[in-house]
Amino acid sequence: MIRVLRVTRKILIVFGAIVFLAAGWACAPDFAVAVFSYKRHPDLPRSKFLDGQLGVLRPTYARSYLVIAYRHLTGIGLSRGEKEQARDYYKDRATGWWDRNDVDWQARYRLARGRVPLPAPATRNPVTRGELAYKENTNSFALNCVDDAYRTALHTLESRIGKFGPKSAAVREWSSAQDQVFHNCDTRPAVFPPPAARDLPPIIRADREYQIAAAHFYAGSYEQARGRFAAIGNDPASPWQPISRYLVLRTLGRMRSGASTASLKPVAAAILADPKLLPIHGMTAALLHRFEIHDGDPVYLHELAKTVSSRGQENGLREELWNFGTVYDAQIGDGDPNAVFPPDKPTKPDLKAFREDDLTLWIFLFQSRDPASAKLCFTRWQQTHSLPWLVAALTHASYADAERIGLLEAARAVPPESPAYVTVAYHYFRLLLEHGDNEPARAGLDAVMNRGGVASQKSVVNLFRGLRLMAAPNIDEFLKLAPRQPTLITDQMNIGEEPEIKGGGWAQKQFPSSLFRFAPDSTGILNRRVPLKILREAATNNALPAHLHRELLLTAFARAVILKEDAADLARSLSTAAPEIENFAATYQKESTAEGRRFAGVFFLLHQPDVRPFLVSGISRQSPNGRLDSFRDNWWCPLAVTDDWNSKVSDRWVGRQAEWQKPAQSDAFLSKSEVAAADQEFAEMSRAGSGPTFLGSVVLSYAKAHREDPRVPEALHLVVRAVRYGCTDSQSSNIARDAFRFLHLNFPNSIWTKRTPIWG
Amino acid sequence: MRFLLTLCAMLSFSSASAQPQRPPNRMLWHWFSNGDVSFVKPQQAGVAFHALSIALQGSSAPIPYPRRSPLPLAPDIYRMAVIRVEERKPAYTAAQRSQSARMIRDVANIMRVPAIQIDFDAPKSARPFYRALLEEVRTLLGRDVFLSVTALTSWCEADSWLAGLPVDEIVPMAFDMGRGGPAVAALLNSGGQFAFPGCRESIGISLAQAGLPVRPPQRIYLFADNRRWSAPVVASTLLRYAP
Repeated sequence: MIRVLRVTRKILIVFGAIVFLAAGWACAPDFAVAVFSYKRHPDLPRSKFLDGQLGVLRPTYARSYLVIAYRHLTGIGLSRGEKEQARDYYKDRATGWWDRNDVDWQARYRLARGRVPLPAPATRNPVTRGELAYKENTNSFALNCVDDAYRTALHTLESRIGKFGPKSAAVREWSSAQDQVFHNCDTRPAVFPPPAARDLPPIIRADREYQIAAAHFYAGSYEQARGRFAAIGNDPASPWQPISRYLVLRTLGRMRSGASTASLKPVAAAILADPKLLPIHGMTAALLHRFEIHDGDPVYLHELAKTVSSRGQENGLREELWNFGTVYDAQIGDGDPNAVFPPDKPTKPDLKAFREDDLTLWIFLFQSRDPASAKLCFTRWQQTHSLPWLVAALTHASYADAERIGLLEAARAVPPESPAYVTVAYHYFRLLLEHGDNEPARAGLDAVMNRGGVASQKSVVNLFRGLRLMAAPNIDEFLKLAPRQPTLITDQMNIGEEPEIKGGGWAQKQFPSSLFRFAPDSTGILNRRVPLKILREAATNNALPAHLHRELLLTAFARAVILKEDAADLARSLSTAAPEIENFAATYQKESTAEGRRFAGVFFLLHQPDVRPFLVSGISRQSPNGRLDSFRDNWWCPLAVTDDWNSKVSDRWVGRQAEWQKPAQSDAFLSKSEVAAADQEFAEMSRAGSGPTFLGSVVLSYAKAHREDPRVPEALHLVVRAVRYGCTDSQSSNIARDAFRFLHLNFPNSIWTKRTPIWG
Repeated sequence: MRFLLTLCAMLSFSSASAQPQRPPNRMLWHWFSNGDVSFVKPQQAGVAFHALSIALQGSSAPIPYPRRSPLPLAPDIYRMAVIRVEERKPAYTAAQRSQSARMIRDVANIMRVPAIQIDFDAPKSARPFYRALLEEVRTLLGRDVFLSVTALTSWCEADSWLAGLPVDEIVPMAFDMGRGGPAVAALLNSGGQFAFPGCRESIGISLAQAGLPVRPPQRIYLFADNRRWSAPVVASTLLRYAP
């Protein structure tokens, strides 16, 4: 087992590198994003989850969580020892290292080697560290010399020094040859020790044969290595005879390049059948397992599934989770519905590979997005009536499905103590809302949300608030449910939703997660479904936290200005909610004509690059209010941008376009005519173009009629600035040019003209 | 004054780009994942692939993460090793700088590549560190190795801090720019250029956010984003961005 752990540790190092690299995968700057509900894992710390408080199980969870959930759903659960194993597994995943208390065998070997009076071997290359060999044919580095090589060398050297002394010819010969062996770990061209002189002691000569074979092994000349290890394996006089039999198998493993494990099995079987080779039986079996993991052997997958879902895994669950995940990943390959970077053409996984055991099939169908999988979940539920399959079936069901096969009735029968309760309740009420049963959904959701098991898990609370929001009977209640406390503030690259993954959590420090923020489901409705008339009422609602109240007021104000609606009431409220802009608000209110008010509104907006006619969920903007953002997140882009470029950027990294997706759920508190009014307003705002274009158009037309207004030169300057630093459209540069010309022609001596030397 | 700065920047570039074998005008970026792009012919494009990440944390020695995922390439294709510098609240010490520079040199030597590209996100306070790092790398690599750096588009303003860097190329990455992205796209789409001339020779584009105009003879680095470089994707992409 220890051997397997060591082998697996190397896999983990690779994994660790992947985790690290994934965290820093792209070359974009960091942008803060708010996570309201984890998609990849349950709430942290995981103690509650490991104890069976599973929250709302999501198909997007990493598969290890689904294994643990399955154990709880089937009543097996986790013993104390198994929980420790599971914690260690997640510690591995977080750190990318098996344990952080390893002995640096290489350093210890080098220390011992320093006792031998020979020139020191070359210093350790910081990149390849005496372990990694560069493979020219694949432009990559591969682990070549594992810790065990240095550990064995250290013990051998200490033994030979003990026998012959550090200054003896025997030890100097041995060390010089070993330098050449380790040279081949990471350096090319390879070098090979010469055959030992006849006058050296027999044990040093035997060592030399082994060193020559090892030098070939590390150099990648595997035919040579195999032949030499085989010869040593047949030499009863060599102390290296047993281990060489094992090394033949390892050499064959490196040589196979794509061949399956089957071709290695006869060699392994011969070793395992030889009682004299008992000391290498364990490592031989472990090596075979490793090959099977590498191959993604389906038989092995199902053996692992049975083990990982059985009791008594106090000594192995950690490793079994690793192995099950690795073999499952190999099986599903490009068909993984949770792939972070899905391939161009995902392959359809072959169901046959997953159906041999219940756990694997459950994970496969629970995660699948294929409609056919939903039907299979229903069938499995009907066959088994088990909790795992109830959860899977409900997750995939529509109301009609659920009613037809009795899922609703089964859901109602799940007691609150059940580990499935929260997931089942979530989907039960989701289905009621889908069916329009808002009142019972409201009452039921309120009851569930007040339960201890739900209220203590932020992700779960946010998911339930999202459902409850859809059942809100009026705007006041809607606004109470719209803000949520994020579970995590992080940067957009943190695809694993790991807290503090980039060392320090700058995003968390800059934008504390204790602050409530609008969640995407609420902004979607406020932006696309709610007309100005209701938004205006909502904006003057003081029940919101102050920062969200300010944001909503400014949004409604901008929208009113674009829609040519009076915004005096909003300006009045702004004087209180945002005292720093009191002067602008007062000026707006003093204007006596609609034209004057519109210009005053635009003049104000030109000073406020953070204001937009829509709300943004989560971290709405990174720069302070009133300040230009250095990534041009200033004013607003054309609404309903449809081209690939904009939508994909925003969808993926920032989520802004998600604010414009029409919510699929019903809006309980809005009438059809109100939604229709919102649609019309949206169309009108879309026609106004980007922020700089809209603001510039208003300023230009006002300036032509009111050259005497002392604010006009400044407004023209601000238009040029807005086009330069804001999000623009095809008309914007013409607007900037016209503003620039008008300013220079009509106000040549103005300070604002001097501050506007160019327009492009 | 601005004109003079621009001229200085341009001269600095032209003097730094005389010796090395320059990359072809179409480069495919390949990051961490496994892949096989050996079907790409040398006359079609070069490949800039992730070769090493260097993590800087506190004042500790930099931690190297060399490429572990196999990436077979056609013989004789132009290979550019990309080195990513990851920041974990580093102290930006002189020792970190020198050790990082040596790692970059070592990777160039081991991989025997004609070009190195360094990718980093330099906060303002770290810019002197990166300038010094690039100077040290340039000294260690000599003039025979083409030295490229990626840049955020926000670094490409007229008074760019990139002016005078001892590099052969700056590649502004016109993708994943966050909320300012649409504004930069609008600038480029309307025929505008980055104000800093050093940012005009090359550009990085992502397939998922394609559509930006390219000015011949600009060198284009193409990033497959969440797709993979398959033969049809490469063929259609290179057709779209034919020189």
